[in-house]
Amino acid sequence: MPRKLKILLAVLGAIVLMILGNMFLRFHLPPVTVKAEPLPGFVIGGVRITNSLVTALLVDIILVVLAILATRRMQLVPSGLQNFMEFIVETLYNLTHSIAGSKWAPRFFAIVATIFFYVLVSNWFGLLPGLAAVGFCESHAEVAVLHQPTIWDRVHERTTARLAAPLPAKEGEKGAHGVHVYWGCQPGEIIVPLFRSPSTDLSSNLALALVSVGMTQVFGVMALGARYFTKFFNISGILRAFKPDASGQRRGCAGMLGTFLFGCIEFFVSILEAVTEVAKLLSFSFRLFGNIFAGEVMLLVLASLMPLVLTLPFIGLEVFVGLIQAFIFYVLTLAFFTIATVTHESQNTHSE
Amino acid sequence: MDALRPLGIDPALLAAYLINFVLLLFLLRLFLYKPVLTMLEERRRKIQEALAQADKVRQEAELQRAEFQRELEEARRSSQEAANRIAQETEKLRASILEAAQREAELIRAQARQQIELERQQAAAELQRQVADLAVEIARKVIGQTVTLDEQIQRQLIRQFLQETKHFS
Repeated sequence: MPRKLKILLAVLGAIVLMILGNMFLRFHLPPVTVKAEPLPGFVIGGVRITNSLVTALLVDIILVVLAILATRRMQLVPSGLQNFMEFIVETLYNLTHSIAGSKWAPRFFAIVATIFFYVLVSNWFGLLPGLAAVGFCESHAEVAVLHQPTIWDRVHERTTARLAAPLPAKEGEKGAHGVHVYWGCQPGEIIVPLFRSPSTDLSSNLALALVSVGMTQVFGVMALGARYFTKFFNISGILRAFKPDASGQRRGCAGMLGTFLFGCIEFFVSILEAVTEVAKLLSFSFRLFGNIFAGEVMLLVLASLMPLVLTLPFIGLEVFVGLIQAFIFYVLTLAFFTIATVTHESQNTHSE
Repeated sequence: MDALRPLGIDPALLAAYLINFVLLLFLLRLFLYKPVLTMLEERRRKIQEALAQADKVRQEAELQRAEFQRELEEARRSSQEAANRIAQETEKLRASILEAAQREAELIRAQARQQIELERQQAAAELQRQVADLAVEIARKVIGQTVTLDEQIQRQLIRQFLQETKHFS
């Protein structure tokens, strides 16, 4: 078969799929909620378990099962899953080693590698097709508020109105709290997905960011002792103005003023460092959240506009974004750990 | 913290995620990092050992080769020496045999010469005697039985004569 004909057939097939998808597979855009939805009936100790927490547990199980399968029968000549996992772990370890050095790499590795694996599997888990369609029907007031029509609803209505009448909602088949696909819900009810990627839940991201920033402080103190905190409150520059200079002579008035001003700048910078630590929490959690959440919403919107074909390239893109975000979280954490273990003075001499 | 609630940040959930992370950390450490890193370390050690072993074997082979080379050289040299020595000895032997043969030949020649000399002398003596007899005979014939000289005296005379002539020969 000539190549051109193949391409032509592929394009025709894609067009047919698009038309068929738009005729038979259209669905209403599910409510897009920034907050992870609590699952009805899942309450432990007064805390309503959210779908993202359930997914986080699932991610844990996936990772641990993979790890056990890979290392169950370790062989000196690796093959299959063992080889694959060894490759990933070794690559991560070598990168950690090249950044953190041989003293700190073994201590950093478990934390940064776990962050990488957890974030990666979370990101990719959210891309599983049909994940948003499986869940519980609910007409909770809180959820209803979140399901006010958005611009996407209007776009959706506009595009679907011309093609066909809105899909009729079927009767629920398994009762109010049974598992339904979206069109199986009662009118007025919306679907609460059973699974939601933990990366699209700020609680999970903030927890990771807390681990990252918190352990940065721990490693900083481990490496430098109490001296580590002078990074955040540095008045040594100001005090230097009232001491004799390097040659042991008393400073003149101008010299004292200059040194004092430089000390003030250093003090200000150190306060900025302290603010940066808090900002890191925000940047870590919102960067991951924004990237993954936006990706998933984009896929949903595209799928609601055109159920078939259109999302395929974007799923590929999101797979890539998921990997990159996991890697960024890993590398940034590693970099902050490493910076924290380097003394402030040597950092200065480096930059000067 | 309440301001963060609409964003989905809830202290209890945060704690749950933290615990979840720590749990995952320990599980992965137990089931993934430790076995894999141990295995990697062990593999590196094994490979290093194997390489060192190979290196050692190669060095040994190199040493052995040098040893063989040396022995071969030695053997070649000693055989060369032996050949040389044999050639020398052969030469010496040849010379000595030749010398002995020459000496013997010389001896034989000398003996032969002596023999010849002896025989010549005998022949000469014989000749002398015969010449004397002949001379006496001839003289008798010439004179014709007149010679009455004692035969003994005649012989004496002739011998004297011959002795004198000998000085001229």
